[in-house]
Amino acid sequence: MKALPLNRAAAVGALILACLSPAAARDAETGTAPAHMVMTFDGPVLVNPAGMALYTVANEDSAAYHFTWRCTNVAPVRVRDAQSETGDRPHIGYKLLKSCAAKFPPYLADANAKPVGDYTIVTRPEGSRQWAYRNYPLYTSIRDHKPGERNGSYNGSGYSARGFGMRLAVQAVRLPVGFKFSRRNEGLVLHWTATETPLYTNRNASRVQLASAGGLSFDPVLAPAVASASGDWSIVEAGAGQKQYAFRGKPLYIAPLTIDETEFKAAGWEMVVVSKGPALPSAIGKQLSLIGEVYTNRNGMTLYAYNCNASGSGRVTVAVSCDAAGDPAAWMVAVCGDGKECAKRWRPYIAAANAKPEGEFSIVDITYPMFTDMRGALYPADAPRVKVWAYRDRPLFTYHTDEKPGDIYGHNVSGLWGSGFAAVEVPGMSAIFQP
Amino acid sequence: MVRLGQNRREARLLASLGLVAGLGALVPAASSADGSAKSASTSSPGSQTIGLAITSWRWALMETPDLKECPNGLQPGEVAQLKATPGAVERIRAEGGTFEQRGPNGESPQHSPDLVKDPLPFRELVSKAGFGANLDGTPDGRATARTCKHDKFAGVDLTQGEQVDNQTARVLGCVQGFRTGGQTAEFYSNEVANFVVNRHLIEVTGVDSEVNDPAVEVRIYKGYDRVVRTADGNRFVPFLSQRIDTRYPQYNLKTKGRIVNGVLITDPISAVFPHSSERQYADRDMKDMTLRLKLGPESADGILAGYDNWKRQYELHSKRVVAELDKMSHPSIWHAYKRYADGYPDPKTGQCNYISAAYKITAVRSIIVHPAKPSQRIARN
Repeated sequence: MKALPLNRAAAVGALILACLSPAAARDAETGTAPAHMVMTFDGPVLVNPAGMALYTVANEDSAAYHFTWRCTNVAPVRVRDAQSETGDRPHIGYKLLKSCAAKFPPYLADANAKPVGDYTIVTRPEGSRQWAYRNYPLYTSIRDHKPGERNGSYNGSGYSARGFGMRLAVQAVRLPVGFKFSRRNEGLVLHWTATETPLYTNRNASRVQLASAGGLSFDPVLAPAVASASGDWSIVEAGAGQKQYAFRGKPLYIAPLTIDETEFKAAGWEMVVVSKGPALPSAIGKQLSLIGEVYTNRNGMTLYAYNCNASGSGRVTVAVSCDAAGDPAAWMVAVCGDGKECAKRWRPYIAAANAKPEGEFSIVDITYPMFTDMRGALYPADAPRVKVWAYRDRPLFTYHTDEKPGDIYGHNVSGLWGSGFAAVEVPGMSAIFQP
Repeated sequence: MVRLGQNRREARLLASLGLVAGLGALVPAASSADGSAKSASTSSPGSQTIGLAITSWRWALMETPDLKECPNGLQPGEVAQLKATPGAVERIRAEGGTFEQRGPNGESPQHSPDLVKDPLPFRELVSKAGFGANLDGTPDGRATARTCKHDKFAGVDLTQGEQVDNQTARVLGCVQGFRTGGQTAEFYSNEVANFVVNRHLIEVTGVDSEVNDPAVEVRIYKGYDRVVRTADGNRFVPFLSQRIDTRYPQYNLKTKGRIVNGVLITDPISAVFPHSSERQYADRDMKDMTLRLKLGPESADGILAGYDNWKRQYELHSKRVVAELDKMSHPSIWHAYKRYADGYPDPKTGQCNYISAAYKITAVRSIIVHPAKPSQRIARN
């Protein structure tokens, strides 16, 4: 995956510095903070000085009265099986399961480090000192191999995502009421919560106007009378005594209630992209399916990623991923049987010899079949290897019963809660919503 | 968003509530977003349209309170199969896993039905009567060029007096999950009403009379809009506009039909329906799909029958994690599908790849809107 140029990211970040909390802004300016924000298409993400993305765990609030460590050094070995009433027992393949802290190494503080601004230091159960942001302990991910990657937060969807609690550590950003960022194919865009649609500006509009183009009316995003300019945000006159929000000098508009942009792109309307999305390699396509747009191979066939998350003990500790090399094969066995059968059903998308990684797609080296010993490890070192396309560090597969572009028969094929294959969906292009 | 036909819709609604008298039940030819629909008062014979949005879709099974149709009881579930498998409980206690990993190496039965054995026997539905349609055209289920030998049911309800096909009922009729109140049945039926992926629209054009019309045209589409329940939650508000989701032309179907004594009967066609149930998304692949729908002033109900691709059917309800509430024994169901499949034999093996099926569906009268522009097609309302 291509590294996000830090100088450029810092420049983008500086643009919205005034939107940050005062403490965060001060720390970032003085350079004393253990992390800084990089504006990415996943949002304003915190990275450590080496540029590696940081993560937090849902509900792991060290300031909470009943604070409990959810990402621990202990592998989740027990599973509840209330439906069968045959008692608790180990997770399948438990001998090879790793701990959360092995997958997400805690971001440790130096012995003489001191809290600064929003960054505090918490002591882990084993005694080490860990940085926390706004009381949430910070972690890195072993899935991130170089700066700019944020692979640790991807976890598929549906059943395979169950129980997964790791998320990117995101800098608190002050936005006016009604705005939020959302991830779409175009990148990180400014989003209007009232309509749940992206916001637009017009590249031809040099002054405030009630816009109308091609029979489509764009409503100005009105600002309250007390709104004031701050950082990227400014206030312009919308006529009739009304005020309108502008972002980076461009007045903001709500598009007609449509998500089809082809009709008004020609009239100069464009989405407000805060951070441009990644490019696609030529080997990767997009295709509309029942669930929305999905990524495909060159032939338009849906691509799937395998995700596995072993639930934590009593669901107190976070689920731990079990889909990488060295993790137990048993969870995949549950989904598709022995190595030969799994390889028949799930076919890796082989990368051409001259293929180059691009954006969120990389090329990884895996074994095929994916395992040889059902009680052994996934992608064992001693098996034949192939180079395959991967999305956010997850190898990609096609499914044997998909017959034509748009088929998603392999989506949500799950053998256990937290484990299975899911189609890789194009961000922000889901078709599963109720209008 | 363009909203044409609204006045008519309101008039329909008022009529349905008894607030306006003398308004016929038929709706004019399909409204279009460019406003080209004819008005009701000027419609000529044969130009009337009936629009319907399907609001529930259930397996058409014979169900009695005392389980007469299941003399051996309901099918045991995966937990019972696990406990009856020698050494299985001890093995998962030692090696790990849940009741789902009862295969010899921890395989889940739903994904490896040829490998995992069910020690407890399959419980078949036993009934002489059943819902369905005569799909093969024979009186006795003899083998034909496109069917395998099978037993027939004496038709009930709209197909009273016919010998009908519904081998799916023999497979699933005694499985709790597919019966009324069963998890799969209830989730799916609810998702048909509540989830836009399952919005199925039926448009009947060229209607002269809703009682008897020898020739009508029937089109089926994937829709895009929600159906709305009445305040008491028991019915659906009729005559709301329903846009066709033109992003998915593969779900557009066309056939001919007739109306006999108020029942719409359609000619069999190959059909693909979008399907979503409990996060399982796939196409329902049917052959010889036919409708028997009793038309009412605000709604319609009846049977949708045809030959289902049985492997796809199995996959639709078996690729997710096991829910013990369903009481499915997946290998048993897989083998029963294979055994009872009665449509479209493989030319080499003779094994039928499709299985006759019937579903009870209900629908609400709607105005089908043909969006003229992409933004109208997908605009949110």
